[in-house]
Amino acid sequence: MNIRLEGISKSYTLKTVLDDVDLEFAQGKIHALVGENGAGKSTLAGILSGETQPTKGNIFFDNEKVVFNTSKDAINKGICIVRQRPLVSESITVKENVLLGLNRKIVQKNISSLLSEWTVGLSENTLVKNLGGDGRFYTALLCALCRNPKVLILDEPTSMLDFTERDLLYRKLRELSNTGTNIIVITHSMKEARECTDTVTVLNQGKVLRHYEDSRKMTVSGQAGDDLPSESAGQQANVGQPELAGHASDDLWPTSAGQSTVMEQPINGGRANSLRQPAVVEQPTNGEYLKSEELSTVMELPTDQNIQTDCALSTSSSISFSNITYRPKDRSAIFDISFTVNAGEIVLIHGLQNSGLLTLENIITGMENERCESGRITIKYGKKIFAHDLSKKIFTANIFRNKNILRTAIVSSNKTFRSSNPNISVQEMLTPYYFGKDVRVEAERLIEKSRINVVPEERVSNLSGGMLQKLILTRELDLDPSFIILCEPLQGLDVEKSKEMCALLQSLSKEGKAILVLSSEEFPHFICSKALVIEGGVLS
Amino acid sequence: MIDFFLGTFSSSYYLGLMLNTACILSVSALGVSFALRCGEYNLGGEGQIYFAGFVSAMLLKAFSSMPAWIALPLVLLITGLLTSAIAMVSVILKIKKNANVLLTSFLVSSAIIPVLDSLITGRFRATDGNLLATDFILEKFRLPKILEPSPLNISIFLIPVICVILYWVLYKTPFGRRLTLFGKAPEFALYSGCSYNFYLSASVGFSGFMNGVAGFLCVVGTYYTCHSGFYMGLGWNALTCSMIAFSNPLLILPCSLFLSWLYTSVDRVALINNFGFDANGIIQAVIMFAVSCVLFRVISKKHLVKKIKKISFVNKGGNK
Repeated sequence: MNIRLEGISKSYTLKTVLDDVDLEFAQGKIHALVGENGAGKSTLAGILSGETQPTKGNIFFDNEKVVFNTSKDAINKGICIVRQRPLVSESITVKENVLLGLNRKIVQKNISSLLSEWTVGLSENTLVKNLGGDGRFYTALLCALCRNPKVLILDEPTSMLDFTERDLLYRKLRELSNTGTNIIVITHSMKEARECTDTVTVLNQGKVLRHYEDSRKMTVSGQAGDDLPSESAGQQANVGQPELAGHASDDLWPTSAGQSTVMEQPINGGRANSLRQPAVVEQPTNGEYLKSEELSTVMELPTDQNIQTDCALSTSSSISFSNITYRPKDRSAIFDISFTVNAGEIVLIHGLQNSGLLTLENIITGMENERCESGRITIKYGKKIFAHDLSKKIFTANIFRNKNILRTAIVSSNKTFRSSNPNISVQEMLTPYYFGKDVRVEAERLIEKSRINVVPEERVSNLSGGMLQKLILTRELDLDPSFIILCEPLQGLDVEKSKEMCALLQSLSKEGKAILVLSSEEFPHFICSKALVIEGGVLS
Repeated sequence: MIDFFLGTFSSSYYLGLMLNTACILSVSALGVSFALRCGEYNLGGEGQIYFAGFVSAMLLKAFSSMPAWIALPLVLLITGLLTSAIAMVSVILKIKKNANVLLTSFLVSSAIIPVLDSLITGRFRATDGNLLATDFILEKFRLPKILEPSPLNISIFLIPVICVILYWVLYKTPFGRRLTLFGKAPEFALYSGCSYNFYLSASVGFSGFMNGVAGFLCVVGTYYTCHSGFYMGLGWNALTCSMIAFSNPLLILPCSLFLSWLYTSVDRVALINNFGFDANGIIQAVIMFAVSCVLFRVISKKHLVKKIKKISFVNKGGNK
């Protein structure tokens, strides 16, 4: 099915997200939509899938004009979308999610084969609430695939996947496109766009900046397309960490050798290799990625000496997690996990979500509703000491949010339903910690602080991923926290935003804040004081 | 037909009856709203109201020597707290055993009702009459009537005040905002540091307290005794009222007036025309269905306007 968009525009109260977009997507191809956060990619996908109605413009399917009032209209036309924040039902299983609204008998036969073909080790009987981001993505993908889509739209499909899964996904997408399916992929990754798709369209501030009929001819930073979005920082980190990926590249990110005095426990090459697939990592072409010096200038990187001095100055405050062992029923277990985050430090815990990272996140953010087998959290804050025995009492988020113990900012990896919720307004999302009278004024203050053009009454569901991330971070950092827990902080961010995020973390650590980063994506280790890997539920 | 719609307003008895029903419905609906705001359904309203009526009648009998200005507030408080404790059984089961509040509140209520029935018709039945009821309360404890011969009493002046106060609590205080957050986005509320146990207890407990107040008002303002089955339909009607009002305390007032008008009018017409009980229910159901449709249309009006605009756009500019 060929798709043609003619003069598509979408405006909200205070902004125009898409401005007169003309595009064509031919069937049997994989099309990439790239652009910075807020470029209008997700909105365009929303319009194609009937979730959002354009302010003006026409959509043609095989030269026939169509109007989608609801998602159902689009689904009936064979268009399925897998959102960046997959909307799946939490309390039912993967299989039950897939079966929702479909003919049970026909679909049931396909689920098992689709699961084995498209996913790595996902069970159809697992409850979705026990799945990480990758599992939720696959659940939504299966929901779409079971409808035999003519057009499949994937919004940031690889943001939750590791390299094996990414590789498998694009292989399967290619097979699917060869059967005539029209596939549209929204991505931040220029590498993915160039190597895995057929055409590339670059959006910028709601307009089509460039369109490449052959993605291999796409130019990148430093060449004709200077204003194109570059490769995401997360992936740069991967390419630039030779000891992790097994490559000798040294032109992008500082090697761990250069950081050895800072990193308490540098990542072990052998273990890390099992997390990342060297086959996917390639040497970048000239100008594709930023050089380390370039990045250092942008971020004003502190020297190793500086970091050590800062840490030494403020070691009086710390938070320790010791001997945490927890075996949940349907999720990865974690065993004897211990680590400490001191004031002024950035501690990174890296690993796949189903290697125990998600379980660890749930425990330390107080979202686990059962007691652990063992474990203790000790917070030293000035002269105060707070200890919590995880085996005796459930650790809840309100303990961390209690200002008498420790001001804590938490950004969860689940930004859709945990750090925010699509059913509430921006005002409600921004003011859960506000106890004053002028809620609207407070919300407006935070919106202004985050430099986002949105009104407090706007629904969270109308925000783009980048806007949501920014608002959540602004809200949390506005607490003036002493301890910051950031889960997947670079998820869905383009290179510029990733750089800003890293610079922000560094400045916060300089201010003496204790920062804990949990990431399944690559994260620049050189800004971290310690980098640990969680694999098989064990921290190393 | 005209008589059906306007007949209730033509007699002071029916008008008073309607307003009195609206008062009791409002109080109970306000409690239900609190639980609904937190995302929980307190389906045990009937049992709780019945329990409160029984406790009120017993306590007022026990405190017969006390002056009314001490006994009434004291009984109100004790009744409210005890009814709240009944509602809290569901909360405890939820916290300890993760049992569904909707189910447990209904089951607890269903368990209480036959027990109370047996007490009222047995040991505590009044000896000086044929009613299946407890002893009548003393004259001094009865709320003054304001529209004789109807049961309407001075409690009507309190209801708008309670509605405004609860609106302020739910919409203008951090407590209310957080409570509402649990109903809309429970995981986000937990993440934000709101204590689920606290807000669950507060909302369901308060819901029980308000049902206690409703039961108390039934005894001291309407029946002056706790007769068997006086609760019939009250709990479910309060739930209907609260849901129509979108759990907004200010909207509960007009909604309860509408519902009480409907119930009173149907009862009146049935009495005059000698309809059966089932016919009453059918008339109520038809009207409620019609109202729901109208309400649905009003809600989706915005959506319809959008749709019309889109169609006109496609027909005009869209064809270029």
